[in-house]
Amino acid sequence: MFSETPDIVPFGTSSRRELLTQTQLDTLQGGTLRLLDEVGVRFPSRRALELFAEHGARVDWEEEIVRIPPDLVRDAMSTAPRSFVLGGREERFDLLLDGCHSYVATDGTGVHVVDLETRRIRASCKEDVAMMARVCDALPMVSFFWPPVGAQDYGATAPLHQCHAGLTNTLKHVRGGMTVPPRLAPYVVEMATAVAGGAGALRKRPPVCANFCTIAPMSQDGDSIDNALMYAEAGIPMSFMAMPTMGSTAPATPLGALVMGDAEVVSGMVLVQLAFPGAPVIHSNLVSLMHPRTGGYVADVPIPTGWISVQMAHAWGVPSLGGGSLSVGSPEVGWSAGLDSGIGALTIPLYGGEICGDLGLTGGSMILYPELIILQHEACCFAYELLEGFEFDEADMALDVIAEVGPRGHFLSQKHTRKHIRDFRLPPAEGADGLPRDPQEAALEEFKRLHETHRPRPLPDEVLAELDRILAAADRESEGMG
Amino acid sequence: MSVDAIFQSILERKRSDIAPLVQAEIDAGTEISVILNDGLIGAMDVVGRQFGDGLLFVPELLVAAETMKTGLEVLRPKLVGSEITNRGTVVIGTVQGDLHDIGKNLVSMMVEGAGFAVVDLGVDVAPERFLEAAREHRPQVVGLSALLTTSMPAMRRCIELFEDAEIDVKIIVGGAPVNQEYADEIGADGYGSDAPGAVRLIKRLVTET
Ligand code: B1M
Repeated sequence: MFSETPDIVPFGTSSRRELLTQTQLDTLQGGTLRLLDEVGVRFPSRRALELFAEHGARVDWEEEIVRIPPDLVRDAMSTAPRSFVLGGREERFDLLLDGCHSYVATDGTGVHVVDLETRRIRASCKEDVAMMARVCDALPMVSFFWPPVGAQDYGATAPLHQCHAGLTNTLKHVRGGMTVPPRLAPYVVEMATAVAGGAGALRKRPPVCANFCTIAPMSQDGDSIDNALMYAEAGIPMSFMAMPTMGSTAPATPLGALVMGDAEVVSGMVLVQLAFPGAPVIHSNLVSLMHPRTGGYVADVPIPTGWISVQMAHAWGVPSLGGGSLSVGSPEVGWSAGLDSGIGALTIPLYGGEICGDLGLTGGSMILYPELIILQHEACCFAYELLEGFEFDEADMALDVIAEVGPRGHFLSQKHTRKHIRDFRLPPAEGADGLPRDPQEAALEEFKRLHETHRPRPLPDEVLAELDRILAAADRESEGMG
Repeated sequence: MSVDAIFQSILERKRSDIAPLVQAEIDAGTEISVILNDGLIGAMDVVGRQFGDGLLFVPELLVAAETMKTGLEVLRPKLVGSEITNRGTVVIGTVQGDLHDIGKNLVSMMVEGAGFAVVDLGVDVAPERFLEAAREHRPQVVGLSALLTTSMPAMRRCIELFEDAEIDVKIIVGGAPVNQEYADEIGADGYGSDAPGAVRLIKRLVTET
């Protein structure tokens, strides 16, 4: 017996606000164009350098730096699609990245797990990814599955196994094309093709997307760039993600970090457009702060960099990954996790990025507390109901009921009360007796319940067998690579 | 004789003041070991403590370390061939397949600030390159940094290579996904959880050798 996977529920954009004016956005874009033209970006990939040179960019072959004239940037970016689909197993799980929906995603790829049973912290493994995929499959507000942790029980093929654990345990879209040595990247394409049901179907409704981090300041990773070109050719959508850290890898001002990250991301997207015009690309610019005292990574600074980067993505005419984020800085699930989650959930509809949320990890995207996904899903439901769920129906003023009760009566025995009293969602961390419970304890119980009972429908047997064959071939190839 | 002014210029991070001050002490005949230990290294020990206590921010620590380095450059010709040395030499790098360097840079900076000579090999450093650098620079300690679980095995390969080559050097490891247990498993001589921890560890290992 298999479980029904509920429909996904994205946020709409009726609550979206623009933070910057068009003039301010133009100024930022002007900064990006200037950086690309004058400073340039390092592309340690022969193929990329050749592509840029062919299209008229200035290439310093020795330093592997590409300087891209503004017109070339604009022309290339004009071929990037504004909207496209990330496919799920069925159409009802498709994500339409069109600027009218914000889809909630999990965070990734952490390395530690607080074990469900022993409650001790340990290294993550493939089964943790499978467990999270199954539970996320049951949570309607989670639309996009990024394997939250790494499959450390595998070597160089870990990212392929993470992708496999996602594809075989949820019907939702999987971010499966992570950084692998380029020799292993074709296996990601093969897996995506097998699940989509052919190369044509893959292009239409790709079940997998990829992510490539740029290397601040102003550099790309050679392997990532080679993989990006391979995926773009196959029709796998990809995000270029800058992670400028203010104070260490980026200027210590938000606008400096934003404009530099934007230049890095845009340089990657330009390359892909030059090679494969119209290839689906996603803009992602996650600004963080170097902790001034320890040098540590601080992602949850109360500065609207996520908001601005969504606007910058849209100004380029591409979807955004990032924006509202529930990512928890502290290692524990405590007050600050509650604060990060609650405020983060509210920022999703406010910022209006296409893919956002980053649910499930603490400690700066390092530690998986399984039950956190339940608490953060709840925060998203709360934000959704507050900002999206309210419908104005004049009849709800209930003037006739108030008139009937009149001064000094009560509404307890009204039919109207009986009709509507179940409309409200009660706080989940509450026992049947109505008394409050420890939210983390209640969330853990709910997580375990879903983990034990939710069984998403499997892929057809022949697809499962094909995936096993692909993985085995990739594992063999990686052994050969030493 | 006093090296107070040198000491003070490091605490106050006056990079442009220190060279003439060190030169003046040399000219005045102050013992080189006093300038080095009581002036430069002594001041950086205080700076290190201030950083540890949260009084200094990372960029301020960096300028203090650079101030000390500027002073050390003036002293260096006098150190060559003498018995007096800096605290030791550390070769450091981020292992093969890994491009994360923020943490490694921080460790380098603090180790340097503590009076060690640091040879930073950068990122994506192959085990063979670490070995080559160890042969060339004869460090007391080699430091390996890794941020990716997929690059951590390169630490093990590096340690095995050093064992095979029978090079007498302490190897320490660090980076967000690394822990003491992993360090023990791969036979590392130590694990540093953060930059001040790495400095303490290196100081201890160098004293032991
Ligand atoms: C020798 O002795 C010692 C002793 C102590 C030592 C030491 C050595 N080295 C460090 N220490 C210790 O002292 C330092 C100071 O206290 C500390 O150093 P840390 O480095 O831990 O701390 C720094 C001061 C601050 N921390 C950091 O700078 C790292 C922060 C996180 C968010 C991070 C960043 C910023 C980046 N990343 Co990357 N990145 C993450 C990180 C998650 C996290 N929260 O750690 C992690 C490590 N990255 C990850 C990933 C997946 C990736 N990253 C990638 C790229 C990048 C950026 C380039 C964007 C950027 C790095 C910029 C740079 N120049 O270093 C890619 C890999 C590129 C490559 N080949 O290396 C890419 C593969 C993403 C992609 N798809 O492209 C994840 C690893 C998952 C795994 N399974 O291992 C990750 C946990 C984030 C996540 N949750 O996804 C201690 O660890």
